[in-house]
Amino acid sequence: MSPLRHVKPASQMSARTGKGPTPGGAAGLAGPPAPVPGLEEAVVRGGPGASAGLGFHLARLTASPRPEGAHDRLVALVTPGAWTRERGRVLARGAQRYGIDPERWLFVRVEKEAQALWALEEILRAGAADLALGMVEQVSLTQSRRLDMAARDSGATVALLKTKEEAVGLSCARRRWRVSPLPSAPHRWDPRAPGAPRWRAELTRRRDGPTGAWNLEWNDETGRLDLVEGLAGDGLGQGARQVASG
Amino acid sequence: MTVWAKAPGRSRPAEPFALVERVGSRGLVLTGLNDAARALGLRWGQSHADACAIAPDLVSHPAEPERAREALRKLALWAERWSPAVSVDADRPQHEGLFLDVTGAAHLWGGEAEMLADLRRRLEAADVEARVAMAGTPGAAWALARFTAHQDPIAPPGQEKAALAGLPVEGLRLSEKAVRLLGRFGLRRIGDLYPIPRAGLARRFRGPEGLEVVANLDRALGLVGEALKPETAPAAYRAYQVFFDPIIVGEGAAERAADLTRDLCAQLERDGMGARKVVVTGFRVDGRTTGFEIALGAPSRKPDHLLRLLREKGWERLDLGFGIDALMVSAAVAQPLAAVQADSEAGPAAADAAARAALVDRLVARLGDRAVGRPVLRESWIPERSEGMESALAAAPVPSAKRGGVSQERPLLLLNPPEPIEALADLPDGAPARFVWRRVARRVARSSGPERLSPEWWRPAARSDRPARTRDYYKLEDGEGGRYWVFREGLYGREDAERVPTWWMHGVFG
Repeated sequence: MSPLRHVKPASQMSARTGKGPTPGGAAGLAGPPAPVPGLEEAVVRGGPGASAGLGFHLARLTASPRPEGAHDRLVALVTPGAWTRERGRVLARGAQRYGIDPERWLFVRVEKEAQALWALEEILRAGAADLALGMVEQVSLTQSRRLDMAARDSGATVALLKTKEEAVGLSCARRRWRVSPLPSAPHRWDPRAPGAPRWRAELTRRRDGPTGAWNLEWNDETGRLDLVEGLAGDGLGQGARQVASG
Repeated sequence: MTVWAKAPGRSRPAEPFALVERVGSRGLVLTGLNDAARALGLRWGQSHADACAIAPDLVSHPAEPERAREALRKLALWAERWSPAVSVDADRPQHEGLFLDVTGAAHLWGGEAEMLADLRRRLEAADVEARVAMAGTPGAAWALARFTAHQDPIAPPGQEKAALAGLPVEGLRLSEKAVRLLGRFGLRRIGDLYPIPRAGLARRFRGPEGLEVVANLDRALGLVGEALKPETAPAAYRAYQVFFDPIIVGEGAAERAADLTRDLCAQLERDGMGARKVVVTGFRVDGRTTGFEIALGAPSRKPDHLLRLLREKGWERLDLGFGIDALMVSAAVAQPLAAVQADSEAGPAAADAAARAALVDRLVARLGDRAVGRPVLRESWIPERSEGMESALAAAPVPSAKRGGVSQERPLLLLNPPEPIEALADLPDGAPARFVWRRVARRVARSSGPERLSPEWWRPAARSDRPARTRDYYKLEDGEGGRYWVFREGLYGREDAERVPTWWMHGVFG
């Protein structure tokens, strides 16, 4: 039983060139846009939300197509100490599920958010990372512009994970997500057990195309994000409908 | 060559001053004197009551041996401006001092006499009462510094025997007992020992004292080598500059240090080495040092990179005080570094590794060694032990096929330490049906497990009265899609009957 089909990230081409809207992007039929170099923001709810946002970004990194001959660069995680105490530390073994090798991790622990922004910018300017994740609540317009430029120069994505909706103010982010966990489908071999991770990803702001919302499931075998229709667990989600490719 | 300096403390020489310390049953005893006190006939080890009878206006102060030792250590660091190998000699009360190994360094000051004069002058300027001497062996220099009348005695190479002949036997760093023993035989000068055959000397004075006399005489005359333990491991590469006028402005020091760093990099380049640790030391006019260091993940000799790291760490860490009159930049740890070609023939992976090393260096310089890390997987089932963080400065781990040993799914975020939860299970040994975590009640929609992890019996428990218990891990999903990793510690009725099994939240899945 493999009802899900991988959906090609709709806007690979347009997102990279930054031109034109993507057909069907808003209808939920195409997949979410692939990551582009630059700044992204994601609002996640507390508790399980933080790890959902983290998993979503790691999964997108693995699922996104990469240029020929590119090699794996670092995945950097910048966390204030309070964040780690509140939500826990990232397990490299847990991230292996999303296709991130333990060797790729670089953990940076900071005390203040200003240090976190500095560290993120350093990481991007060094050009050694594919993805830089920062647990930063407050960022000014100028700071966000600096991060965005540094990220574009190094061809990396920098994502700020925020827990407070009101913390999202004026910023230069190219994408703004709201990520929350979704109930999973039953496990393939054990109907009582939770299945593959599912998330609801809402793109609330986007500079290079229309916004949209997607229900996504991580597929361990293909290393891709599959699209699932409707709310999982409502009967439809049991199997998830076949969806058209964008 | 050894230069010896003595630092009995600081005081105004005009009035008699002494440090007193309570020694066993003898009550208060003088353990430090200035010249004025000595001139009045007071001596080291005298009881405080006697001293007060001789000199009623004696000013005394409780001795602080810890502080004195620390001061001597700091002075040793400061003395590194003359030699990279400075060792503290604090074993003998009343005779504390420093040994400087200045082999091959004297010509930098224009000769031995000039060097010794410079040493004494700067110690005086820093308000340190000291006597200095230079000789071919530490023992000879020790004796010359303490028991010669004239200033800055130097024993010419190979002339130690003649230089020491007239000095009292105390100059051989002997114990009180040995000195008394020699005195009984009328042997008061070191020269008196020369005509006696050494074998006879050891035999005549049986016991440890005899051997002590012979061994120390041999050391002083250089017949037996003496190993000194430098306070800091001597840096192989150092760039050093003395300033005519002390620098009191931070920018000035930073500018000079930049020049010295370039000089250091040139030295490293010449020898095909790269620095792993760079130390900046400012020598203050008041006899103290100030400085900071940077650590590097990969050896480097690029001046721009090193200077950027130093700037990142912050020149403001240099506490200039009343000014520094010398500055040193040294590579405390250096490693061979193959010459690298400027172009990117090595491929993007190598360029990437270099960028990564440079990045880690900068992050560590600003945030500290412990703030930047990479995960290290260990062979353990216990989740919190199975994965640690090691400093990113450490050499990159070799990817091992064996690594992990855990095939089960692990959460993305691990709570450390686990948080207690209230859980309600349908069956004592089953998965929870509902639980309360952080005051939020959650109903379990799906669950899988258990994954049973036995305690690692070969490790001692954290508390001996509470042996570690078996953990049963469950993956739970609530109605909203939150996926949790909880465990029950202990098995009902089978393990540690006094303690009821407890439930814990240990992590959250992505």
